[in-house]
Amino acid sequence: MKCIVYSSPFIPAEWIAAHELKPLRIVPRAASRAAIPAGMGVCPFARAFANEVLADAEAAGAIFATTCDQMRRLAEQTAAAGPANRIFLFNVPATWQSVTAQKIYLAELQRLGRWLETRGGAAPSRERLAETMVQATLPTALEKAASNRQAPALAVVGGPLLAEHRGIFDLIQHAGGRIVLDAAEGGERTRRAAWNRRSVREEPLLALADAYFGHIPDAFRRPNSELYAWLKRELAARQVHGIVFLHYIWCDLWRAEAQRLKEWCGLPVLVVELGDQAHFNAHVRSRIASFLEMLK
Amino acid sequence: MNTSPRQITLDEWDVHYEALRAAGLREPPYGGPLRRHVERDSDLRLARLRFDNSPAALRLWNFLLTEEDRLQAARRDGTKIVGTMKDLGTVPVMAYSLPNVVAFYPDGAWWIPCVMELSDGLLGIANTLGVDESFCPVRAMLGAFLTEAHFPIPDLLICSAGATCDDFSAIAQRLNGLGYPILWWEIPSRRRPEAEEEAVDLPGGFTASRQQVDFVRAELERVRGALETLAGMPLTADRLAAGIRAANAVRRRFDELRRLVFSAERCPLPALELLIAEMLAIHFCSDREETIAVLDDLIAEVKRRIAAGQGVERAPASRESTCSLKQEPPTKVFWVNPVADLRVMNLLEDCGGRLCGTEFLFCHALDELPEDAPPMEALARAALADPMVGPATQRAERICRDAGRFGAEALILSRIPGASHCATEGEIIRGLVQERLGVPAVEIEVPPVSDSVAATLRSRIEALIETARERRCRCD
Ligand code: SF4
Ligand code: SF4
Repeated sequence: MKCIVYSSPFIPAEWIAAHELKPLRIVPRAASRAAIPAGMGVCPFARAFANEVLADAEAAGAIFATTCDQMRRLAEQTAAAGPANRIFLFNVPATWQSVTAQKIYLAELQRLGRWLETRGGAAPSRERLAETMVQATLPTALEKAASNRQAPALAVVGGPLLAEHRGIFDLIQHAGGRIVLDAAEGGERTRRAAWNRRSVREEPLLALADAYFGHIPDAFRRPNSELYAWLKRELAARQVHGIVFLHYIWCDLWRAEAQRLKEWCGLPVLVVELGDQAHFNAHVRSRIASFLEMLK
Repeated sequence: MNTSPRQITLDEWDVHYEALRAAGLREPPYGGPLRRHVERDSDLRLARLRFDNSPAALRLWNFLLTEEDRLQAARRDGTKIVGTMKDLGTVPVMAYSLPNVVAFYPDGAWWIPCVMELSDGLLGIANTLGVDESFCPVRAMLGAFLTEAHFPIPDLLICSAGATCDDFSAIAQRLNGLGYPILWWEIPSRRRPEAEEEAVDLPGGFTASRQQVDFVRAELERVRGALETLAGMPLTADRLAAGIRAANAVRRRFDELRRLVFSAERCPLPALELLIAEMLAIHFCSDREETIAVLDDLIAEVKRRIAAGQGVERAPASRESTCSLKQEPPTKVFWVNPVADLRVMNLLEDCGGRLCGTEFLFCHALDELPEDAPPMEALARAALADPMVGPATQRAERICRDAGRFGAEALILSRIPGASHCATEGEIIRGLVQERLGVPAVEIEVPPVSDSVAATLRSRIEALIETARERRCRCD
């Protein structure tokens, strides 16, 4: 089956699958391939995703999302460097409270559907979409780590992470922390909502749009108040003692939230800036160790 | 009093101003010597600039530097103040269509750290809010809101979101998080219409799908509703149509001014004054009628100079070129992006260049709005014509068209420190310009106060101009 790659949580896998294509949400690796070189001002994650797409000759197509300026612009560069029509730029509205924003998202799903057909997909019937949705499983909440219940409970908050940088979870646990909330991209925060079963039967595309566009809180949304509403609920429910906040260098959208989060949450916050390097340097390791020391 | 055109320092302006006054200079109520902006408002950078010596330029500077006074007067007399953010040229046209509303761009705080040579402390305030130098200088806006020292807090804040830079989006959200309510409206990422979609022509030579235009129109309808509530009166189609005609009256003047300046044999207006004048386009500097008067003065002065065969260019750079072009006419340069430090515009003439075109990120605010379409449709098309909401290649294509129009011999891309779009678009623009026009291009980065890198900037611009002259020599 032909495969379509993407990284944004706002791209519904079920929509791609319903077109009889394989959705593959990739977690890019740092600087593994570098058709687009590191440069002043370029987000390492966006760059790594673009490079993975350029290096992947197998995929029938790749979807970028307009959730940030960096991705929007790198989509253009990636499209220019590869075969025609292999890249789809999905316009995810930043606003969400208006009917127009919802209509734009829905229209983009339809446009995406037409593009998927050009990449070898088949337009799904309403029934096939509904069936695909019903069969899709929703990942469960973060499995409870079997670590010491006395260890400080931490939340990891931030944007997307390169594959190597997901190692921060191990790093924290090895340093004596217990991660109870994964609010980075790819974690619990960016999971779609459970389906509204009735809508799935009656209007599956609307149900799909609602579960994704209507429910995923993120820094780029305007306003992004839902991100804070979600964090408020989850931080309290998990009895979090401290937050490790991660953002990439040159990521304005998440970086600007760091100080606001500190002022807002009333919890200790450790801000870690990530770059192009695949591994965490000694400085980051010792900061995490000191942070946990302080929380104990 | 008839003086030949020249660029003069602030000290020289003091003397010149007195001479003009003695000769009967008539000024608008906001007129006066430029020096007072340094003394009263700590606009220290003025002492380091060279200005055009015409009364028209004096009026332009005074108009620009007294905007806060106009906004405070508006607040006192009960006029509603709207802060329009990011769209650069569309929402103000709607706001000025209402008789009791005035609009301005808080984004204009961009230049405060430069004009006040960092004495304002605005960037420091932004730092404490977690918005550091990795962001574009527009972060000064946060400090301007918190200190309330540069403009009154608007009655309504409107900001476009979606296909905008991450810098502004993040900063406006930070402002919102600090308790300033914002009406967000969506501007989608402009794309070429697909085969089965209806295509709509936009100002500036772009196209968009009918669906995208309709989405933007619906979003602007929300803005219209908010403006009506604020003003306490309907923003009717007639009012909007009149507002569009008035905006076009301003835009036609810009077109004329730019055409005259870029095509004249000798350069009739310095680069710095042209940049300042273009800034009036985005929100009329809080007074649309006065903007027209200021532009009319500038156009008259430019025409007078052209008729007299006069120009403001300085002697070409003194270094020897292989073609011995010491007395060559200035090199025609197309300038992309505004400079965070105004002083760098003076450098262009110092190095032997002159402007023959600009794209300061808001060329859509200079394009005439369609008058043959329903007003909201016209505004939606104009908003989608923003060069920054579409692909960088389309922006580059427009730059090539505009640069070719007046025979650009070189291109300067001014990189904005921290700006998310500058990370990737420079290469695209430079590549296309070199491919299509074959002219040399250079990318420079200009911080809000560029004194520490002035020598580097100068040598890079000089090298560009020398390359262009050698090319001119070869072409001849
Ligand atoms: S980390 Fe930030 S800049 Fe990078 S892709 Fe994600 S949102 Fe965009
Ligand atoms: S200069 Fe560039 S980065 Fe800064 S606000 Fe304007 S468009 Fe955004």
